[in-house]
Amino acid sequence: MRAPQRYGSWRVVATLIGWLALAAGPVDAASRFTVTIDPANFDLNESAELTITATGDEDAVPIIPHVPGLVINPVGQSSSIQQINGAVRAIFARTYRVTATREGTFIIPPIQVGSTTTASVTVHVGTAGTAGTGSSASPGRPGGEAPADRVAPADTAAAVRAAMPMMKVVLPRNRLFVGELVPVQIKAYFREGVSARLEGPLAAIGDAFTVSGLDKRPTQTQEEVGGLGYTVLTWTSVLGALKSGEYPVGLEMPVTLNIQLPGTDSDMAARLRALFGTSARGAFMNDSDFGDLFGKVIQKTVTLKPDATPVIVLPLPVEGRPADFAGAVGQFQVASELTPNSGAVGDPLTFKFTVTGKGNLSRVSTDALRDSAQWRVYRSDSKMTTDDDSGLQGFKTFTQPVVPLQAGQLTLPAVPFSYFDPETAHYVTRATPPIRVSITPGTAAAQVASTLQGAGLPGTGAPAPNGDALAPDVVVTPERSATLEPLIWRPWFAASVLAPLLLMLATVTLVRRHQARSGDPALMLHAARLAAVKINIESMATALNCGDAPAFFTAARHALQERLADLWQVPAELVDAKLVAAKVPGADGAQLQAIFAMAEKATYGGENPGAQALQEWQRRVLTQMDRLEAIA
Amino acid sequence: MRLITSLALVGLIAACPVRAEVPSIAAAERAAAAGDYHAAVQDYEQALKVGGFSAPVLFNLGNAWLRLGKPAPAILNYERALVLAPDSAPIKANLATAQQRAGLAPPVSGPWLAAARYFTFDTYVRAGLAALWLLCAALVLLCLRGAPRRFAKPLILVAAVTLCVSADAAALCWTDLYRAVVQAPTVLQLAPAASAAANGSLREGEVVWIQDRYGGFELVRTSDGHTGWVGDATVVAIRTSLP
Repeated sequence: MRAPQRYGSWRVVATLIGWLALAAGPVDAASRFTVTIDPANFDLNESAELTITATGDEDAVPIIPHVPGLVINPVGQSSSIQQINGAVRAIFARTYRVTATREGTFIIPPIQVGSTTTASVTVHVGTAGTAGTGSSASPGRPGGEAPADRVAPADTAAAVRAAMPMMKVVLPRNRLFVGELVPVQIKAYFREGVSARLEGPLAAIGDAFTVSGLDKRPTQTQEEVGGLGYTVLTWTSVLGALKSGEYPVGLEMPVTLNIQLPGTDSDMAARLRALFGTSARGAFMNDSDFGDLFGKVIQKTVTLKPDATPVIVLPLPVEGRPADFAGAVGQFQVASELTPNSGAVGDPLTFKFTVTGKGNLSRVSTDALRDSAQWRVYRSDSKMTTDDDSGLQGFKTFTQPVVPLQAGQLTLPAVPFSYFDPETAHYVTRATPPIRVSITPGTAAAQVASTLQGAGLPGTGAPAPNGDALAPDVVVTPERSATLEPLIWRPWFAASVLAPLLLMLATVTLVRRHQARSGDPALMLHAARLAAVKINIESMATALNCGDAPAFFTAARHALQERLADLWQVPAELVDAKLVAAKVPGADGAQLQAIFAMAEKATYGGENPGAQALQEWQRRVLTQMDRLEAIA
Repeated sequence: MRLITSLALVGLIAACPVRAEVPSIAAAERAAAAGDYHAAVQDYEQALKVGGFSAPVLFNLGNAWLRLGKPAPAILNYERALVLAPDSAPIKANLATAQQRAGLAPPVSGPWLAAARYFTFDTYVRAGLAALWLLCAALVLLCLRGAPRRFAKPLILVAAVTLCVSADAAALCWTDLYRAVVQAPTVLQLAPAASAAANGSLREGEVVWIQDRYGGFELVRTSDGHTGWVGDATVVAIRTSLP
């Protein structure tokens, strides 16, 4: 009776589950696959998101086809359960990142997902702002209707164009000379409302100009250009022309822009759809005010460059170039000073030559004074001081030690300085006035004159061998050197350095090996035993000559013991006739045993076999010694 | 007998002095004595090409250039002669004369560099090499037993000190290997290009230090520390392999 009751209760449970399932609504057993790409139009330096969504109870890994020109890489996957009006559905979404290697229109062919195939997808790839307005999915694709809230590509391109920053280089004039320095303002204009982030410093590129002071902080102002408001960053620096020709000023600065697009963010809309309903025309999204809250923002990194208007750089004219011109370009004044303004022969005085003005002061150089019969002039040192950070204006002082060689009223000559004035496009030569100085005879005079005479210098009264103050020619001897190359550049030098090093290495290796061997106890014992064998054999010979049988056999036994102990690696005192019998079988063993037995008899029994027999025993012992290595 | 005679002749020819091999030296000497310095310069240069560098030939060539009123090549040849004969007083005197005629101040070097230049770079290299061999020999002695071992430690000390001093002095003189003489007045340029801006000037006969080479230009440093590019035909290195 109990069993039928149990079956009956199972039927009730099954019936209830069936009713509950029916009440919960039909489960959509059939799977649908949709493929979307967002955006369908993008630029070469951008990417799109390809999403394959499986709705239903079936999921399979899509087989992504190869599309020449496109790179499709998986990004991730997600799954969710949807219950709408009582219908329960599982949603599997796989996301891929699509980038392009070239411009063009691409068709991603139907993607196979399990036993189903999706529709094909068309993608347009263009350069910045030129991506076409092509469609996203082929007509008739399952679930392929374009979302109503997607931003039109034309709007995107227009928004990007409108948000683009610009850079201007403001120069005092468009024609410069090589070496000229001019103040320059670099202005970067950013549209108001566009959030921008500088990704790197403003940097000069190219080899036609130098731009200094770019590492300084720019000033920020607001300007209106063409009725539009801009935030302007301004760098004030100095531009120098390096070579002649027509070149644009090469500058660049990476900037990331956050551009607000018209319309709503389709990603956000999709998330809202997933949250609140399947239709994009749901109650929330139909509310335009609400939709605007999710206006799409795209991030774009651009390299900001000035317009390519070239600056004309003229070469410095050859005509009229003074002989002492050394590259100074600008407007300068010169002055000189001698301190102290009097002295004695041989006393050093300091001559200062100062160039003041505006221009390429760092390239101003001058020879100032030169040696003469009255003055010995030494190398000058220079120091530049600028009035501002730009280095455009300031002064440069050349300090030169001078030593008077004669007494009396001497004159330091005028020092000329030539530069090119870019304003007038002419060379200008300025000179300091000569400086008169009173020099008295000093104690150093004789010493200076003596030194100069020793060197055979002219103007000091030194003998002039050829009448031209030169030491005369010498007779050419056969000694020759084929080269003036330093030793270290000659091929044999490396070998001559390596050879002692290798020799040293070899010596050290040998010594260490020797030390290792000499410290080995086994080797030391081996050597000691061989020495003992040798001594005992010599003792045998001595005993034989003396006819001393006990000494002969004692030495013979010790020689055999030491040798066998060395071979068997045992203490010598353990080697006896018994051990020999155990270890050396056959006739050789018998011979050795006989020697040991005879040694016993001679040593302890006083047996003396006679001189003839001792010689025979010696032969037998030596024979066995020779054979020991083989038989033992 | 013929073979022996031939060998003897070959030996005699090989043993003949360079004067006999290079007749242009005799011609150069005659030309210089006659005051024809153009011919003397040509003959001495020919002699250098044939027989290699020689201090007397370089000295006489420098004299010929200087008598022609060309101090820059004279300075170059005197500097080269000083490399081969660093203690020669006539070469130093004529070099000073040439520098003065070029309007150049005598070179000034710091006390350490001046001390290091007491010997030449090659002398320090030779000393260092000898010290290295001595060090090696001393280490070998150190490995021996008995009397030779006693000499090892003093030898190592001497060799190590010599090696250190030589290395330091050679390092100080290292830049001397890259000295060059400006052969014509020229402008230092900021970049290795003909159209590059000027950065200073070089005087004829000035000694500069070559630091780099690029596309027919040399980056040189002057004695007052300025650097710039000049055409490679304008500066001639003092230490060179071939005339």
